[in-house]
Amino acid sequence: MSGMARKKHLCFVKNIEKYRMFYLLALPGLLYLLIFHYGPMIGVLLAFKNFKPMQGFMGIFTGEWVGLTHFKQFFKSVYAGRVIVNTVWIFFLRLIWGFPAPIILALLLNEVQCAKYKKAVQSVSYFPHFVSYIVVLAIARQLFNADGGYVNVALKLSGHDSISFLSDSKYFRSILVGTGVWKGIGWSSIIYLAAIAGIDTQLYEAAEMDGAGYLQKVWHITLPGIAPVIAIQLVLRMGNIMNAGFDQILLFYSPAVYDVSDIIDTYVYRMGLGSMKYSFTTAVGLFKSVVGLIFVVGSNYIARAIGQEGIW
Amino acid sequence: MKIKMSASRRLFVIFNYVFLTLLSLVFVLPMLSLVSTSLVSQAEIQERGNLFLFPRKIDYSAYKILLNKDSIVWNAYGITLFRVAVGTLIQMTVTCMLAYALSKKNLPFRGIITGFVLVPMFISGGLVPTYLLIKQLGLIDSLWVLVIPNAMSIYNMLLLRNFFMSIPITLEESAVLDGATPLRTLWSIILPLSLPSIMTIGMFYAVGHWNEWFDAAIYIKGISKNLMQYSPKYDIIYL
Repeated sequence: MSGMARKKHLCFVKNIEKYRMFYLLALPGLLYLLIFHYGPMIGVLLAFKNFKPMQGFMGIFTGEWVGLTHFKQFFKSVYAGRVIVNTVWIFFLRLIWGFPAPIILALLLNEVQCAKYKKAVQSVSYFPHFVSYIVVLAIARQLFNADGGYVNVALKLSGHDSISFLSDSKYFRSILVGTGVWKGIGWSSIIYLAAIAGIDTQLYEAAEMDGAGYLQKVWHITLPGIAPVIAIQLVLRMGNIMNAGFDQILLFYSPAVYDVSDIIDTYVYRMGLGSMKYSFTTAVGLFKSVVGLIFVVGSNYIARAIGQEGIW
Repeated sequence: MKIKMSASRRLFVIFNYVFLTLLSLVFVLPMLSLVSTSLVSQAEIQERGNLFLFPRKIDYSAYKILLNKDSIVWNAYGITLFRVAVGTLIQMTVTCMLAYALSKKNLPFRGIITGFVLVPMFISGGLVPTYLLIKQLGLIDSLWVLVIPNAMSIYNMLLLRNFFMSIPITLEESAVLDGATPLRTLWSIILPLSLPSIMTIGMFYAVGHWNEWFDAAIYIKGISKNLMQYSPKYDIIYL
């Protein structure tokens, strides 16, 4: 018995020996993950400590423990409610407008008979995906600026007062969500077009034989055919509930619209890197990560429960 | 019945084409207008307002100011090109190597390593601890901060690993029998076979680098190292 165990052990060692070179190949990637992904994870200790910037990175270990002080401070402050509500609200606005849009676009594109035209529309719709939010902001300014923005020129011509859309709390979220949808709709429609292409054409022929109209075919064949893809996309997206689009908002917002657009990420950014409240903002970030993780795990669980392949 | 259906169908087709054409304009026009605004003179803007699609007279003065010899734009372009070229190269190298190693089904400890790779997809230290780490590593204000801290996307690596796994093992076996090392096999057999996937992921990486501005904004203080996007920011249009 012990002989066999030894033989197995030997075999295992030999196997490792055999794969030596593969470990070497994996090493750069693993080292990278260890330093730049696992390294900052140690940093969450900051959330429970009183860290002073001059202590440097080592202060993570040497700083004094203060328990949950920073978390209490956050939840007692007036900002807690505002940033949490804004984060979740903007996320849901993006979901409501941004989620069905690419599906509808895919369905409409699918009805186009002329392949060249379809291809042209598709290519054009991918365009904004490759443009960064800085350029999107430039476009938004050109459209919505109080002074000379296209929309305001039109408003003036029709006898209205001009509105400073980008610094008006009433319109700011709509602009955020609208430009976000504009940027993402084409690229996101790819996955649905691929799913539609995967539907067995015999189903359509059979339906035609039974006298189904175009709308009926969409309703009874196309939509059920892509339903699994829609479901998994929706579920995966729910895992991002704490991410309302940090880089876009950071570029677009201004103090005038903080009340409707200050999300957890932007708050952490301003308080942390701006005001150097390192421990406090690490605590806020940790709160966000934990809630986000719960949603990721939960949505993955749901994905598997409805018979889809989850992320893991 | 049949005739009526085709009439409503025709109506839909017309609507569809009109709608999609309008939608395409929505994607194209803002870009076009951005470009044409940069090509008109200040005088023409004052005369016509902002509302036009094509300039009457093409005026390069904005570009002359922007692209003069001492302009920071050249430096910014240089840095952007550096990060796209070097950054994408680093990402592709690291990604391909790890993906190939993890695509080996019999690799000992494969499960543990995969777990180690997956965890950071869902948990991160957050903005401030990452900033402190970068600072501790002395990467602040260094060009390398743009290409090292994002040396690999876990998601792209997993995509590539799945693709590598779908390549029939027999194809590399002959190379292994001839004594090729894993690195050699990866380079001469696997990569040529998966060229379309490699190109796709390379494009994802390159576009990501081209569009990225946030890391430069927080890690780099001096204007000389600012990226093309970050330094002129909005000015290009209204110059």
